[in-house]
Amino acid sequence: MSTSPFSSFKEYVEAKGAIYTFANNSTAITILLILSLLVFLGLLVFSCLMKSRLSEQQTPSPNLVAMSVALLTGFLPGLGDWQPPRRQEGLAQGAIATVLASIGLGSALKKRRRWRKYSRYL
Amino acid sequence: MPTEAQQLLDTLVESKFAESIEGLKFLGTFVSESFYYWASVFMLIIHVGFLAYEGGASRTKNVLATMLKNLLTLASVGLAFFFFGWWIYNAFPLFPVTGPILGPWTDFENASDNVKGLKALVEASYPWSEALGPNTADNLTGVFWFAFSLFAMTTASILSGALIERVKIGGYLILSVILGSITWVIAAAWGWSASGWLVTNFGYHDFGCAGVVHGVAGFFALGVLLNLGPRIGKFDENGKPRAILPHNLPLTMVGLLLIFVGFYAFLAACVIFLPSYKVETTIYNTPMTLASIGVSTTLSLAAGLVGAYISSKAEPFMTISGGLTGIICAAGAMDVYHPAIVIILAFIGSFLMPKVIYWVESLGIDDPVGALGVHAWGGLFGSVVTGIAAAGYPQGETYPAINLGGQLLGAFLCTIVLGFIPGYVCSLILKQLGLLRVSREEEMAGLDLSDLGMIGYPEYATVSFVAEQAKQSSGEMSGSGNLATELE
Repeated sequence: MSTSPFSSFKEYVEAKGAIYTFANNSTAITILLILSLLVFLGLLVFSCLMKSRLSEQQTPSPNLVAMSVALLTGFLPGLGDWQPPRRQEGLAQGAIATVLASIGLGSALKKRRRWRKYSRYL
Repeated sequence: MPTEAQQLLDTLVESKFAESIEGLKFLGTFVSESFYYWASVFMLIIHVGFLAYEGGASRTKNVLATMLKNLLTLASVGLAFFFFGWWIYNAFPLFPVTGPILGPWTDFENASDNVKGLKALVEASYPWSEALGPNTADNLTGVFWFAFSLFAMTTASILSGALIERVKIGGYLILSVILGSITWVIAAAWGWSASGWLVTNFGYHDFGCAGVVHGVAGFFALGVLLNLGPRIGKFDENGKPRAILPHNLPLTMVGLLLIFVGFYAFLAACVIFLPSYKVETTIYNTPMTLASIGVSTTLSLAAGLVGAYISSKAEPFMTISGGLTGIICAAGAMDVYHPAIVIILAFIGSFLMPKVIYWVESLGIDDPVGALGVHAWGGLFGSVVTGIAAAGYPQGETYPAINLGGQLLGAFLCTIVLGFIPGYVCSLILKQLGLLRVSREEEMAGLDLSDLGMIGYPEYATVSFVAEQAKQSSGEMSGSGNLATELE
């Protein structure tokens, strides 16, 4: 099946007017335009029908539980003295770092995974 | 009027307006020169986009190294393209089907007509050529070099995103030179050149370099990824992938939008208009208009966004990647597609792109930026579908018309012969030499610290920094070094 409206190269290079696919076939162009209109309408319909993701967030995951425990109970010694590599930070930054570090401790409470096929990159 | 009188009149007119005619002729030259100059400058925005895109996709501990690696692509490929890339494009169109590799050793005077016809282009492509320096007799060679070098850098940048967070910078730069100044250039010589044998003998058509750039780069990246391996922690012991999240998805999205802008310039630079021309043509000397490229690029971008948005259920990274996929899928024959076909092809290709990305991940291949889905898949689709959606278009007086067989052959050469095989073999050699991947310790610490001795966000307690602190304090931490991964 040829989509070209031209049968020879000479006709093609000398064309003055439409040179696009199916330029000589208005039925095909009509069908293609209807299909492309459906793409446009599909966007509008899909975006209107998209469900809220809020319901997916309402059940706390075990990791969130671990985080909560760590936040309430975990303060690592020595992190109050943490300073970033470049300059001195205030107490507020140190406190935030302590809390975040306790989250790290909470994650370390998870049991170790078994090593298998991708153990090199685990 | 008698002929002699007419000639006398013409001579008088010409001598009176000689200066104006000369000025008009030069204006045509300057228009061509300016058009390609500014199109190439706009193509540089693709690299701004890649810088942001890849930087945002990495974790905080790798952001600077990722961006530096991408930035250095301009250096490695730019220089290599000067020393031999530009020569390869002009030397390989005939090899091995319709002629030899052309170079300083070629006896052009006693060669066949098709070889003789390339003499001026080949001789202007050597790094010692007078045409590449300031030369008032040649306003065009330099600016075409500029445009092609940006094409080359774009091609190599496609590879860089797939390798982030674990590739060695030296190994990557070697691969970028091979891809950006050798393999894609050979593909272009064969399939994106008026005298390329894929075109003259098989009717291959690839207006916007779907196969020649994206197919080559995407499959080259696949070959490298098989040797590079996944990031530490990407897959669990059952082979199930973990999400390693971009540290700055908004930056990544801004980067992709910048890439879209640069792609308008890329496709504009695929239009050929020379000083003596009365019409615009493709690289194949077939008719086209720049105006239609504005329409088709916009519609393919839009439809690509729609396809990926629906397919991925509004996942932001997939959606915006779909815009780029859509453009690539329609690029193969964008010079002749009706806008409705552009919309349909872009939609189909980008709808399937997320499926391809998830499928690749299910095979245990870690592609952090979806380069295989966007470029390998998009390039393959865009190249092959041209043989169906643009079938029958004449390519030259003696050349085959666009056909599916020619497109399949071209797609195979681009993706496998010049893409996957060189990527796999070269990365395997680098791996054996210890030049491909950083050590486990370096990867865990982050490439910013291990390669550069600094971190990207020194004033912020980033997740990876805190995780490292927790590890040091607790003395025990599993796998990935990425707290976000640990908390899943």
